[in-house]
Amino acid sequence: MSSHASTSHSTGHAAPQGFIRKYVFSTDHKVIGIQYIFLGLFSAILGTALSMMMRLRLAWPGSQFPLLEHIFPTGFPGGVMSPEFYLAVLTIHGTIMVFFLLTTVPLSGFGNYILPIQIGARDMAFPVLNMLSYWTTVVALMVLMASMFVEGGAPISGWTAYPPLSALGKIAGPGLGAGQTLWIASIAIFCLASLLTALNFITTTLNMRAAGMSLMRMPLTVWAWFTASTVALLAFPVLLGGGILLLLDRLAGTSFFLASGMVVSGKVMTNSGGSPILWQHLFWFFGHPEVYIIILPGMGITSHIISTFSRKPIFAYKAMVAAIFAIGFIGFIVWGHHMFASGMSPLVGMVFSVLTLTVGVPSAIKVFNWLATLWGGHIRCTASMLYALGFVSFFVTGGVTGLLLAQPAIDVYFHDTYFVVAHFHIIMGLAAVFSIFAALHFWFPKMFGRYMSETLGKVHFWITITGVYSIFIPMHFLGMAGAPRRYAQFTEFAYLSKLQPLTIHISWAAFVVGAAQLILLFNIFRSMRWGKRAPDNAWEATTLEWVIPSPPPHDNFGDMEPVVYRGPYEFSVPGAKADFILQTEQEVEGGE
Amino acid sequence: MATIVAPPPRASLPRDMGRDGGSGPGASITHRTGVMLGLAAVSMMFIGLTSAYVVSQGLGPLWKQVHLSPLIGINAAVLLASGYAMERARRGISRGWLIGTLVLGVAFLAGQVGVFRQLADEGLYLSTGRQTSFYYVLAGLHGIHILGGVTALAWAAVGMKRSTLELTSLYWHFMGGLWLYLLLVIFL
Ligand code: HEM
Ligand SMILES: [Cu+2]
Repeated sequence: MSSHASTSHSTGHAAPQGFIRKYVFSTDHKVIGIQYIFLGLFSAILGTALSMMMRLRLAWPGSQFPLLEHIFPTGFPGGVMSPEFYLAVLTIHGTIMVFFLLTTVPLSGFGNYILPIQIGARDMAFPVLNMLSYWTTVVALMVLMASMFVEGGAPISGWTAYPPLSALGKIAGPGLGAGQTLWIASIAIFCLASLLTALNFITTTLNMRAAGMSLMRMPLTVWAWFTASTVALLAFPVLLGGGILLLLDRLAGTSFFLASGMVVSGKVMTNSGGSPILWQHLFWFFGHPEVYIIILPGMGITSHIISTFSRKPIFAYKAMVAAIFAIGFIGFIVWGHHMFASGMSPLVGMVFSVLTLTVGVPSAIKVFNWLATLWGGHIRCTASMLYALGFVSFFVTGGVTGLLLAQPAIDVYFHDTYFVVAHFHIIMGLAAVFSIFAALHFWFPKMFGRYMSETLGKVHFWITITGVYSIFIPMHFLGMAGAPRRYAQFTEFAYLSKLQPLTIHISWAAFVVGAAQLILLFNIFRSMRWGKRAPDNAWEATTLEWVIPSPPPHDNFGDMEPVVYRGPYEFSVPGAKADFILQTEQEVEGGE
Repeated sequence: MATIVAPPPRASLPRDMGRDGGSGPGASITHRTGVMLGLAAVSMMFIGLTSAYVVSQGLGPLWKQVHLSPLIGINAAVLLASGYAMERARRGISRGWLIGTLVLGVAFLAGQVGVFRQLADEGLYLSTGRQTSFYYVLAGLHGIHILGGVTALAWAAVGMKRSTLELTSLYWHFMGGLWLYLLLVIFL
């Protein structure tokens, strides 16, 4: 037996020795997964801190904050945040959250740790490439951070970096010199890292499955990571190409995105012939698939957890797989819905509108199947389950407003108001973050051999979900009243000044939510050392990660080769002795 | 408890092995998938850029500046010839043909730089006009990929392993086809 193990797995599966090879430049997918999760944690803390600063400015526009002036002397002249600094903070907040938290953690983080195990592989298809992708992501983050410390500071053009603002250079405003250049470089590096990770995930899923792990026996998490990776592989290169053009407009004097006859800061520009709308097409051709790269892993995680804690097979597994695919595919042909207000022809607008509305069909299928899975289940109300249900809730509330925005006639009014901000924070920000919370509580026992505290988890869940709804539901009303996004202050507009109390309410709710995240941080670090010890199969679940020890050994399956005999969600099978059957179980002695 | 039974023969082995002709087995399905996915990503970047090219065309006057020159034709012929040499190298596991491919690849790159020089002599620089800008970007990015391919060819010539040859040829043929596609988009 052992001789077999040493011959058939001689391909580099001996555990590496030494701290650096083991924990820093590790090629072990599990270590890399945890590295991504910590990178995301760092990003989340930074991004949240920035959002708190924005809420301060919005709620109390004239107030002075001497402490913040101390930290950011140029950003807070006289203790009041300058509008330009507000925009710089906004840009870094959005970029960090979208790319370095929401894109990395659900996909690269949990996907890295769990996907190979769930399909019965010992590692990714290309472990060294995997390590390089992670460290490339770190470099991208460092370059982004560097943009805050150059002359002029961070860029003020938002996470979408629309030209002409982003293409002109420092003449256009603070942060649009070196800061913007570094921002584009950071995103280009990030593109490269992400598409290499995606390549790795797809190859692994296609080629590294254990015996018996047919496609239709793969957990929905694997389907979701696989599809999200496919979308990433095809979407990131387009952003990379666009980024190269934008960089050339800035550095080499080209006019891809710059029109003729512009006068900037009193100076006549020599550019000619280009179009800023071209960037919008390139950006959103990537940007809309990007939001599905973010949410698809969350859908997989939610399906997995809801099935496990309802003690029922997922309702309509095949329809779920089809819906994942449909969402991934349709995601590529709807980008125009971000550009209804760009002056596009009404006919094109209508086509994009209809295509966008069709996303509602597979989305609704998923929601109904989650509800049908819950229906009549023996529900175990764990913290992880609560977060998964939170995901479903956000997906519905955020999706409904999406259907409104998808109609050009309505969107021309809502575009660039707080209504859009509310829509995408609920459906992208909150839903994905709650899938991260759910995944963390669910797989923590696998990763560290200890449970996270259920009590702290539930307290954190209830404070957070009530808090975030008190933030984002009022934001819809601000948007309906016409409050524009990306403004540091509303009080100057007579028609909005009456709504200032709402803005203040939102800020207080944001501070409560921000503070509540300390509970989560405490729970994570406390549970690593002192959490309740977890058995190998911490949740009486069915998939392959629960067959192996917690935490798993370096090569996941040790001396043995996993063989899969059944589908991923065999819960409460009539006649079986337990209410779950592992995928590796060959025969069920049932009946008697 | 879970039943983990004794291992069956690994499913992927027969597909990966068995074409051994003294220079090692062919490329594994895993590596092949990896290269093909990489090429899919490269395709998407160029599809994005060429779509931008086509759309930009309609935006304003003063578009056409770069014209088909004899050197561009010669370069294309050199690249095609390198594809033929690559195929001979792969089928015959021949180091001679492989080095031939490499030399032709380098010649193509030199030729492309020559085209850039000719453009500059005509006063067409990177920022002169948008079509010129696109030409530099498309040819430049393609050239970078060819440079990567040349490196891979050199690597393949050192080891002369069948698997490396197969993967390199996959990449090389793709880059040849890509250049023809770019020429069609730019000059049609
Ligand atoms: C039924 C599904 C959905 C529909 C119909 C929909 C529709 C829309 C529309 C029309 C806009 C443009 C609004 C504007 O700028 O005026 C928009 C913005 C946005 N949506 Fe959705 N959406 C849906 C689901 C999602 C999902 C699942 C996510 C992310 C996970 C998402 C993330 C975003 C983001 C980030 C923006 C704003 C981007 C920006 O301008 O900064 N949406 N959505
Ligand atoms: Cu969209």
